[in-house]
Amino acid sequence: MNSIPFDTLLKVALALVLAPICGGLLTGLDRILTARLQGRLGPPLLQPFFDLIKLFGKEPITSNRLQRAFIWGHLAMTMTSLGLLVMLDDLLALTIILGFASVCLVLAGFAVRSPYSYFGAQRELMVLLSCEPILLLFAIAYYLDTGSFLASSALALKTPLLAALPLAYLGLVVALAMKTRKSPFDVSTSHHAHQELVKGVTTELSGRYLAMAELAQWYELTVLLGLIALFWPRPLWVGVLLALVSYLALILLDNASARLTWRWMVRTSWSVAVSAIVLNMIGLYILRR
Amino acid sequence: MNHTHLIALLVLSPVAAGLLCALIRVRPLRIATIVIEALLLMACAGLLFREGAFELTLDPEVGHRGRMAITVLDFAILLYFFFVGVARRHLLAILLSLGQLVPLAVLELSWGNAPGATPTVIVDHLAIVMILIINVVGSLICLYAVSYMDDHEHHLGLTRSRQPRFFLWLLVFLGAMNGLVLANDLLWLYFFWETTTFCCYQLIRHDATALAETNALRALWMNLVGGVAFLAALMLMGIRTGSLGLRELTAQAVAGPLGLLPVCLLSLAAFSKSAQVPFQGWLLGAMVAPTPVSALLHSSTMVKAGVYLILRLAGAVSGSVFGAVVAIYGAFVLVVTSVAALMRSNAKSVLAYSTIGNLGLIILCAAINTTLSVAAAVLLTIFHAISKGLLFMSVGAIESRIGSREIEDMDGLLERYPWLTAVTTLGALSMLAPPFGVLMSKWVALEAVPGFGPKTAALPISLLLVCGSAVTIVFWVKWIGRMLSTRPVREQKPIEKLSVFYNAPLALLLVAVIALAALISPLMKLLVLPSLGRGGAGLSAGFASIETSVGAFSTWPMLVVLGVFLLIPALMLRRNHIKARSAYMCGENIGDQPAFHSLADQPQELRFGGFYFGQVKTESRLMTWSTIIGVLLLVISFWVAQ
Repeated sequence: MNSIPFDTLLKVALALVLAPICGGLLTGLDRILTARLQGRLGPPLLQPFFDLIKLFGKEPITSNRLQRAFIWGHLAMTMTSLGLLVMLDDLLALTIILGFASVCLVLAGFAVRSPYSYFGAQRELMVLLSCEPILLLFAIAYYLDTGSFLASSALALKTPLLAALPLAYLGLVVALAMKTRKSPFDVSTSHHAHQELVKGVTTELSGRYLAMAELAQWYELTVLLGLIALFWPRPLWVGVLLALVSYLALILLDNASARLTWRWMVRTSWSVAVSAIVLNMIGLYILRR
Repeated sequence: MNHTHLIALLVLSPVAAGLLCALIRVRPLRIATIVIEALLLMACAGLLFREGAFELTLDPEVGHRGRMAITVLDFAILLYFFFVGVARRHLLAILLSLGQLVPLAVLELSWGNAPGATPTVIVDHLAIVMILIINVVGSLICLYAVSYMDDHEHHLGLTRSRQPRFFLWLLVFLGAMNGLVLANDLLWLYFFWETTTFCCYQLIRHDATALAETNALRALWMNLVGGVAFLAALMLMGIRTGSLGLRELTAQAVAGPLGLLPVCLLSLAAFSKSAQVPFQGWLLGAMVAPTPVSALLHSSTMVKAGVYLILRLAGAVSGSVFGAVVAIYGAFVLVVTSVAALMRSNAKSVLAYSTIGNLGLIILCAAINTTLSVAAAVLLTIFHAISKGLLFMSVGAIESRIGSREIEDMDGLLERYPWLTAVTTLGALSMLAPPFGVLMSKWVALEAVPGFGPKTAALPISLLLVCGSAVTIVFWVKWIGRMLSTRPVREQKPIEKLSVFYNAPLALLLVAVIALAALISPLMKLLVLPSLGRGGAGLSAGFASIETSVGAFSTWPMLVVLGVFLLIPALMLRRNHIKARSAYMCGENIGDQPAFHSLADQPQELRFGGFYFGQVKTESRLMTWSTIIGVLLLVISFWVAQ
């Protein structure tokens, strides 16, 4: 195999350090914005980091031993998918690994005999069922436009991906909303108080394992925003702006809508989001003929 | 060793060993025969792999006698089927066996004296792959059966063991499969094809209960449909070219006046063997048989014979509309069976639906027939055999302990049977987690499908494949979740002790699952790429990655991540002492018990249940509709093949 050049490794290392910082800052921003929308002052921007540090310092207590392995797996898989994105590697592989990261979280939830965690895991599985087709179809639509599954080929395009795949972009934003648990898709666990299942899939996590799940969330957020940035990678700031605007829109949506049922989520995803991407693909076929 | 001897050992030694098992009714001798035969078959498969590709034509004298023998046996088997039909008053079975007896007589009368197709035997890399699967996985299943059948008969309370009969058919089955994948002469292939149907029928009805007899009969008539189609294809070929060679068929299929019709008929035979919709019923019914039978049918024999034939025919359908229709059909089967698996709470049904779905995926990949997609098909054939063999054997071992095959009864199984749970969990993970083989094959398939030539077909196939993959994850994870759900505070139980005939096959296949995930690149280079029968353009295996023309998957880093962060912590758990607390129940917990204070402070035990989509009615409706659509797709395929 071609050995991975040193600067690529450096890039990956840098990304693994920077991504949680970005993710944490975005989460902080999310909390402030949400608070303002609700007429509160909100926490300081760095509050998520304070929380995380505090969690890491807590005495480790567990309600299930196996759960810890799955949380480790969850975090490691999410980090791997970030590594793939930074190396501009295969998007299909990235999607599959990101999917398996979610599987680890679901199994962590199932591992405990706790009603809340169990329900949360069940619903997280439904989130997975809703997201997986969108992400896989996005990768295929990406291939149809660029002729390759490698993320690097988006950089070589003359016109940005967004011009060819506007509906796929919308589909990806829906997947982002599900993965980041924004209303109306926050069925498995939520940062809002209206969640009736205590803390859903993360109910039984505490201390450093809760911190690791949170960290994985930040990584995941960065990966998904990175995928959105691929829609306009040259110049990169436009892509980053696109990602940030999409995320802001989701925060607004989060506060403007109520949590709906998982059935509604699966139906919406499999009908609306999937057909949007498929329409986009049909359009590409017709235009490219 | 001489090539002829090697082939003879592969095909005839299991038959001899089977007869020995049937005749000698002494248990230790039987076990010794099975063990020796299993080792012999594995060694032969290894030798064949070392020999590499070769062709073999039987000398006219031997060939003629062989043909005589198989003709007699053909008629014997068909007459047996006919009498089964008469005895069970099953009109369909009677008609279908007559539908083969008459054409076979015509065929033998018209071409009986013609020299057989040359060469008689072709050993290429695809055949070697199949031989390795059949003899390694199949032999391990036979070993497993030694202990399993003891448990099984003990459970049934039999006074007189029926194992001699069981092992006879089990071993003959392996011999027939070996013959099937080696034969180039279609008359020989047809004989082995019918022999597998026969063995399958005998094994399914082994327990001789009413249900077993019914389901065996269903398996029989469904496979006889395939047999009729097979024979019709032979008749057509005989009329058209006078040659009955498999290789000639694939080389000149499109050119003749009948076009793809023989190929289409053989495909239909393959679909029935592989239990594709609308033939799914027989494989689902087959689980009434003892577990080794299911393990064998699902992993290394029977259903794999169908996809093997499809892989052989793939070259002939390349680029045709027929190929596109078959690809859509395969993708359709993948989706409906995955959805059906969501609704099942019976572990063996879930495994059966998953098998049918994966076979659909293999058929889809073969029909697309690009380098990438055929590689995906071969990879999936290998890995599916290993993972499914492992899963069936572990579920069987669980069943003989807990007395149930319901997933709901496996709730918290980890506390009771840690070793069997670990095996089942890893087996299930190998069906859905990167970088295990099944998922890697799926990844290659996903990369291959959107590049399929006819774009009007590529889009629906991609969509179906994506949906199928997503649903697949859900039913596996649901099941794993049920087994691993454990109480926070519990006493450490010792790992269960099983007999060596259980443990050795399970451990070996488990090692194979993990090792082949690590060694997927050498596997690609040694077996998969040569078996494609074309230059490996568009696909290459690096040291640590697989690269396609449109993407790449680094397997080693993935494996390291998986091992370091998931497997090792999971295995090391016992040593770790972190303070344990019971789960949160709004402060209504009762001590460390899995219970809580309910209404009027009454204690209430905490119970969990899995979630199954739909109900029995929904599933039967789904299967009715998919049967209709499946038949429609098959009709369309016949229509476009003309």
